[in-house]
Amino acid sequence: MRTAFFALALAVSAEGAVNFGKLAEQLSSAEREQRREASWQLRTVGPDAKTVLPQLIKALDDEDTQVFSNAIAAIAEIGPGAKDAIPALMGLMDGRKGRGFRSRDRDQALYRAAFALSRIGVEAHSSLIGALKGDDTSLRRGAAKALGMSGPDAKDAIPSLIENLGHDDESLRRDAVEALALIGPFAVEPLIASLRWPDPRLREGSARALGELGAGAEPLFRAATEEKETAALAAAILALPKSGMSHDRSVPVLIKALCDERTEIHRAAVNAFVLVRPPGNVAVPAVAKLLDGPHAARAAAMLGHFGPEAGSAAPALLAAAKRTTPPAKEFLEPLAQIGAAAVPALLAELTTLPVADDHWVVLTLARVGGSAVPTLEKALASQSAAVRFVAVRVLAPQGSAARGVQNSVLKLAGDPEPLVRAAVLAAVTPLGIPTGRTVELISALVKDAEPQVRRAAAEAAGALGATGRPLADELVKLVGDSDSSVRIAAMKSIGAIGAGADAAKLLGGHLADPALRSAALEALAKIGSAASPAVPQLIAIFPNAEPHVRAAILDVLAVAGDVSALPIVEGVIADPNGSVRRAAVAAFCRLQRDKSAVVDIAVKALKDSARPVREAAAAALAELSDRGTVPAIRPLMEVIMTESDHKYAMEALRALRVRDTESLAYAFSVNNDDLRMWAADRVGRMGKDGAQFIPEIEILQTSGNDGLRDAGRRAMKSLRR
Amino acid sequence: MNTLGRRAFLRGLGATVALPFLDSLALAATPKPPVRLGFIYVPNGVNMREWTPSATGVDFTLPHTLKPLAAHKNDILVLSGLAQDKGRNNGDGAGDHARAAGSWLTGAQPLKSESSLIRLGVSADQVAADAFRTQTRFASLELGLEPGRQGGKCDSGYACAYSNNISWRNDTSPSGKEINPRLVFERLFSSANPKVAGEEGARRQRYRKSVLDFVMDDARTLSAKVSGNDRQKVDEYLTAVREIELRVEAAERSVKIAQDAGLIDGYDVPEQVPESFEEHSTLMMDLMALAFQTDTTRVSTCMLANEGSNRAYRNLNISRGHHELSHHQDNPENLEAIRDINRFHIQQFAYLINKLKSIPEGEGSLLDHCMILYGAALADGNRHEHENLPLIMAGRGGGSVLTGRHIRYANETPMCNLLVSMLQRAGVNAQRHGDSTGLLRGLEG
Repeated sequence: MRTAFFALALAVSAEGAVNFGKLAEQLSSAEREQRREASWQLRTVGPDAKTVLPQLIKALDDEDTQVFSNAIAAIAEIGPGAKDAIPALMGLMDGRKGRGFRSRDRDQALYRAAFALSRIGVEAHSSLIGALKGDDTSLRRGAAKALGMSGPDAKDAIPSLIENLGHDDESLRRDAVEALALIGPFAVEPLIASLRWPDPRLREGSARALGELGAGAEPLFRAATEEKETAALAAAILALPKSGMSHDRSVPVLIKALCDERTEIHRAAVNAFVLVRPPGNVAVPAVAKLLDGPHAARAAAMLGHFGPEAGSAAPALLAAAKRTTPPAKEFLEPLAQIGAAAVPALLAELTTLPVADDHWVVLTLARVGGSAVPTLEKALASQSAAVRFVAVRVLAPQGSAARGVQNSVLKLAGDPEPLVRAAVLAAVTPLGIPTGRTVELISALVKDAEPQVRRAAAEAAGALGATGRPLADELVKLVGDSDSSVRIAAMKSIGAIGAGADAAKLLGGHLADPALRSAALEALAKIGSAASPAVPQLIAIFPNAEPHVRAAILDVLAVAGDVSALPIVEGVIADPNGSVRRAAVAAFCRLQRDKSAVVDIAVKALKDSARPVREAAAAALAELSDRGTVPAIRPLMEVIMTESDHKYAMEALRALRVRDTESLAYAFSVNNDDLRMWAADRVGRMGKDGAQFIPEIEILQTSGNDGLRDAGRRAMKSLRR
Repeated sequence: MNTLGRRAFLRGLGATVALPFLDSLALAATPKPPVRLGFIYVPNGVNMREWTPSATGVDFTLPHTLKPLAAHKNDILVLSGLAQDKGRNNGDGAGDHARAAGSWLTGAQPLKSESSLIRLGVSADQVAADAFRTQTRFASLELGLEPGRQGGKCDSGYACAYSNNISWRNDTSPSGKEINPRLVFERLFSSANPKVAGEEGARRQRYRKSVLDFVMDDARTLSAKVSGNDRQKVDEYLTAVREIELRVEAAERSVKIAQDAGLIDGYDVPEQVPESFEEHSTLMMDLMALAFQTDTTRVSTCMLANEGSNRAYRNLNISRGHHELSHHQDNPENLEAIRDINRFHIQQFAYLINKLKSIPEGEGSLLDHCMILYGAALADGNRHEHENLPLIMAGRGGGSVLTGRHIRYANETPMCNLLVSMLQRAGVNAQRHGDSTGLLRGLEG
């Protein structure tokens, strides 16, 4: 193929001179690659390629799609000189003779042939106009497309195209509308006349075409006010504002249509309003008036479609929203779509603190997105604490889009209102404020007089993760805070930043306090092996604890890695409570050094009635992943074959690095695609050792299932390597 | 005419920071912000059942996959019915993935060759890049999130260059793409003199200095010249630049830590590329937005992954590869996973839209002066369909596009008609592109 490519490339010299004789010869070659290459080179030559037009016409019948495609492109580039190709091109558009069997191939041929015919120009018009009256719909469509692409030169086709507006085929009607629009102003008068024809489809098409042409204002106005047939009326409504009709006259018609009960009609009105966007001062007040009537929801949606242009309607929308408690979403969503212009009105609704995060104003502001940022930044300087608070809360989730306002937000760290200071602390991480400045800010506010600010400071420290470790001492101090919510937040954050052994001892000391126990356990579970100093306290409270607390203690024991806890863990592995069993299995598998004992327990747990226990067992096996896990393979396969949602077991099976031929043979033998794919993947990794499975792999390669076939192909490739 | 001289820059040794449009410097030569073109590519097709809105026009509901775009529904156009015929086999057998990416912006049939020969066509972004070459610092910016070989064979005998690129300078040369945010940052903010830029870039990194440290003198001089509003705008902009610079550094540190600890799994992360897909993606989107904001370039492409990518999206709890899942066999579990990946990618797109909307420009936002085409070159990945492609365009193209609608075009309408229409709206004198047959009607309403 490479040789052929270079040989053919010589048909066009470095200076751009084309050797047509050679290309013509190659275009008739029996070798597909030669024909392809010749046609590829000819496709951009232009009018000079007329020399080889007979060969190009012949190539339109080429069995190879690329030769065909290049040839038709070359004919299009020849332009008017390619008139001899007209019959062949018409044939390609004819549904009875056209090229290809699939509708997509025929549609492509139709597009390409129509384009080529349009480039040939007026010489093709009589054939095309004739085709518009023919029996074949596909040919009519192609003719309409070609004539449309010819523009005003195809004005003689207008009457025939108008006739096709009444055709049964929707695609043809659409092509005819588009063609008339492309032909331009010559079509206006005939279309105005056809607006009065008895056939409603023809009236509908004429209205659509006039809309596309932006003409026929008065006749369309009449149709939009007098037409009785629904589809024709909808088309007239949609076309009216595009026709150049003054907004003063079209807006009342559209308002009336917006209130129509027929879906087609009020949808047409919505689309017409948006497509033309009458200046806000005309349309917006008119639509906003409907907010007081039975079509309020429809009007609200319409205002939402106008987006920022409907800013002046924000107060009316708000008033409509507040007619119900809580305010109706159908009015709030349009406010969000109006965007920045609605933000001041929404903020004005906030009078007093506290404001919950699920307050409707907060949720609506959050939906405005990035465009609200500049207005919210100004709101940071508001006199109202509620407004400042909400501005910070809403800016924070904007992340990068609001990072330009970092300095303005940080200024509020000294705000007189504690809730605002707390909001600033919650915003520092989402806004991406550099760690150094964040640590500085938290260090200052952990000493705040207000507990809610200290709690927020503790939470902000936790949000920093490991980078918050410089704040460990401050958090430890907060564990002794007078306010229990601060203590809880501090404990959780100690876990989040992964503080060390001293912190674990401190947390262990609070395990006896039922109010702080959950937070202490949560923190200990996060600090991993550093939690071991707390193990004695954990063991001490374990026997009398509630099941959910015992499960949490077991989770901590697992990560602490202290084997002295093993007897306690073993003692509850068959506990009646599923959560305890789940945690016990996980803890046992983490603490037990004897791998065979781990596999043994995990295999038993795979048969447990509680799914979380089975998942814990599978996860433990996945972590082992070595040869000792062979006894677990079949039980995992059983889970995969019996449970419909077996993703967890599949992941464990994939993680095991075993080469157990018996298990692989079993996996190939069962009627389970997931297992067969797994087996193929495993065999692929075995190199020569997997050769014994070649027959199974060959069977997979012939599968009707793409995934299995791919897996088979990959495995075979690896085996051959 | 070269208009670069009229643009506002802050300069320092080895660093050049282009500024956003400032009212105080409103230049007679730039009465209206220019239109920018972006192309965001996702591989392996999508779950079309969860993608296509059922209604057309303005009154449509976003399906599950597109829900992350809810806040931007008025800023997007969902386009259905377009086809890229040159992605089909057309006699060349298997290799739909390579053909898909290759043909997406070129509308050309990739040459399938037993040798290392490649031949395609110029892509639409590069047609635009050529037109704007003298007006911006860089003709175009090609970004990606996944490394990919340029040589060798990838998909059923097709050269890897096809699967791993959507931007092509000419028939035989892909533009390549940059996946390293550090290099993109350096490219945007370094001196135009490569020698100076290289030395100073290295010095900055060695002493952990910010690019802004080098242009502060210029920034102070500028502050004295511009209005209060513009001073704040410059301050916010420089904060944003610094913030991105810090994130690039943070990403480099976290990758080093993760690589040292052997924690990176299932994602081939080259050095200096963020470990998290999401962080990588948002950084690249921010850099694209920054480049557009400063008119450093008007054309950019970004491949969220290479075509045929088999990346496992573990952040979504999806451990199987994307490509493998795309052959879903109508299995509900696979389809659900595909939908989740599609939605995750759409979230990245929503992030970019939000970012562009948050940057004021002219009478509106930067997004108003953009046309960002997001999509795939395959519809259903299982059937390798090249028709009815999943495509969304965001932005109003300087007022030439009426957004907030779902438009369904006739089956097999060439996608290249859309590309020509976009080029013309951006001011490029293009009459044809690839296998276009005209303009795409209806974008303006």
